[in-house]
Amino acid sequence: MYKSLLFLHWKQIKYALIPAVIASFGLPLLMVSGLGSPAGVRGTPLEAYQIIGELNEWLYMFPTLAASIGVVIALSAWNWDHQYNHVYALSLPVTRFEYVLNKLLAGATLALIPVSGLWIGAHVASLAVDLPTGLNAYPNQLAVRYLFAMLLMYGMFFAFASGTKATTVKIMSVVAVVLFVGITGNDLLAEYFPYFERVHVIEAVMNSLVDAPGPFQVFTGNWALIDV
Amino acid sequence: MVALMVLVSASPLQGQDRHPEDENVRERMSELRSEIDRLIPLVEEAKRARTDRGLQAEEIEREIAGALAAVDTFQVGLVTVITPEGQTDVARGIFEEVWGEHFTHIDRSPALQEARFVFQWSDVRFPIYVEEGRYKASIEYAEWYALEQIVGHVRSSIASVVHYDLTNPYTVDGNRQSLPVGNWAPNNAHYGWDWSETYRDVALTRSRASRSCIDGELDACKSALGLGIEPPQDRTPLWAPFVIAGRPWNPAISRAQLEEWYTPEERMMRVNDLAFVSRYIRTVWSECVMERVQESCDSLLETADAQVVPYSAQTRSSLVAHALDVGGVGAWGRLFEDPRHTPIEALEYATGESIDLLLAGWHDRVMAAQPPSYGALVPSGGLALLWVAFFATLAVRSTRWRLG
Repeated sequence: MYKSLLFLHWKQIKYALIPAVIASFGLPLLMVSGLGSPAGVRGTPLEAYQIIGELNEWLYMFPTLAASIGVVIALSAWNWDHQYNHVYALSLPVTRFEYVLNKLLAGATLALIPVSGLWIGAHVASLAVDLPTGLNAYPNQLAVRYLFAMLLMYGMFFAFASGTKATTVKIMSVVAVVLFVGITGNDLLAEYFPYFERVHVIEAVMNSLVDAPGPFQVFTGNWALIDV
Repeated sequence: MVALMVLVSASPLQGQDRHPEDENVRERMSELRSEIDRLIPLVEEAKRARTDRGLQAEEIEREIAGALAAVDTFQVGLVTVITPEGQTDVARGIFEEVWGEHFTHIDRSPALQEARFVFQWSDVRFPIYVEEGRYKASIEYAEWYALEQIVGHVRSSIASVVHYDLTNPYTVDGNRQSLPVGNWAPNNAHYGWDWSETYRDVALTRSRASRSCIDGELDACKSALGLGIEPPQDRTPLWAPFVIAGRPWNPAISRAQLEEWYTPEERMMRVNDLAFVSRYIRTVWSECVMERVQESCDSLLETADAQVVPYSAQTRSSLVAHALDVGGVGAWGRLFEDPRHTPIEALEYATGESIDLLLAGWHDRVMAAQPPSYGALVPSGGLALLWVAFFATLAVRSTRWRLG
């Protein structure tokens, strides 16, 4: 069952995975390009402060890429089900629980491909530069964080995509209404309740999403390939 | 409104009203009455607003008067605290906590003997004031403070007074600012040093001396900290020689010293970081940075003061912070006791340790403070997996179709 679903998902997404893998592999290399020479090769010596300064400009691209790939894998997992009205799934002698679980695992397995690309790229990038004393490369840690971030977005959008369009529209509508009411209503409430002068509801909600135990905390940590 | 009515009734229009044939006059009067009716609510609203504002101001003044009328005074360490009656316990708790954690190494400080802290609790408006023995109250910056902010405010206020006492030229011991080690101690040297920031600063410093220091060469640490520079170079104001245009300059840092600190490339980049106002200096700077003339770079740096020492003022201060910890009670006073002491002598005297031993301790402390770059990875990753499991549960619980 798992193998069949993995194969089906692979057929769906293989062309989309090619740019994802290339981007994942190439991003660490792009980051370090022009920063120095490999160990033992003559060239401009690396400056620690310069490395950190220049790499910082690239850091936001890792979580962005991880999230994008996670979303693509998740949506593609349910693509053919929605397209053919779940005929294939209904023809199988399995429960929905078993079917969904296998589908989820198959997608998670495919997520390992771009993560492997990043892991290899990060190692190559680390070897390509002669790091000055005091700095270290963290290719393994970066790849692990990349995997977690991708799985999180994959899981979230997998759950969204597993439902009907009506459910998705309802959830999105609720989110939009909460955002609208939160933004416009906070100022109104602040006129009557001083508490809302100090606490902005939407800001508090956003903080709770990105701070532990919120779901997006993994996106807010360190994403540096090279750091002290 | 009454004034307007009187005005209207006394106006020439009133006289004309006795002649009903004048339609224009009647129309005009009607318009004026409507205008007056429209203004009445506005006038009432303004009156109410003025009354409210007056009541608020009175309330605030009563709060201040009440808070300052009955005060209590107590002593924590060397600090005298004056606080409104009824808030003594809270104030004492905070001051004792802050003093015990960060200031016990201060033995006898004349400024602290004089200092008065006016402390008020959060539901009135002025948490803390330090103003050399005088009260201070203002209603313009009314704000509420959280407890941790007040604790932080107490901490920085005490540190500020201590620092002022020990480095200000007009305090008891005269010209303290001329003490060489005075330049090494910003007021946050008195409490809670962030050693991981020091590590980051050391690791990112662009200097061959710093790299050797990280590798454990204590002489390189001594050099990169600028401990080898003797007064008066280490207290020269920022780039002071540069305000005098033209050669010959007054060399402050030797060429050998520069070469010990920096590679030629690093010296060039060091100059690149600096900004100059003098036209002459800008010319030499341009020769260095644009035309890459090494001699120009070196001649510029030679005239510099302690600002070209590889480690930042903050990192240099960390040595003072370490010395205060090692020296214990009275260390701060000993550090500044003798104005003839060089920084090395002052540090050795304050701690009772040789400079090499002190540096070794400082180095170990800095290296041990390497921030964990991915320290939070495991918990945040675990959390992400839990959320994935949660979303997966939502997906499998869907009742859209099921066979079993």
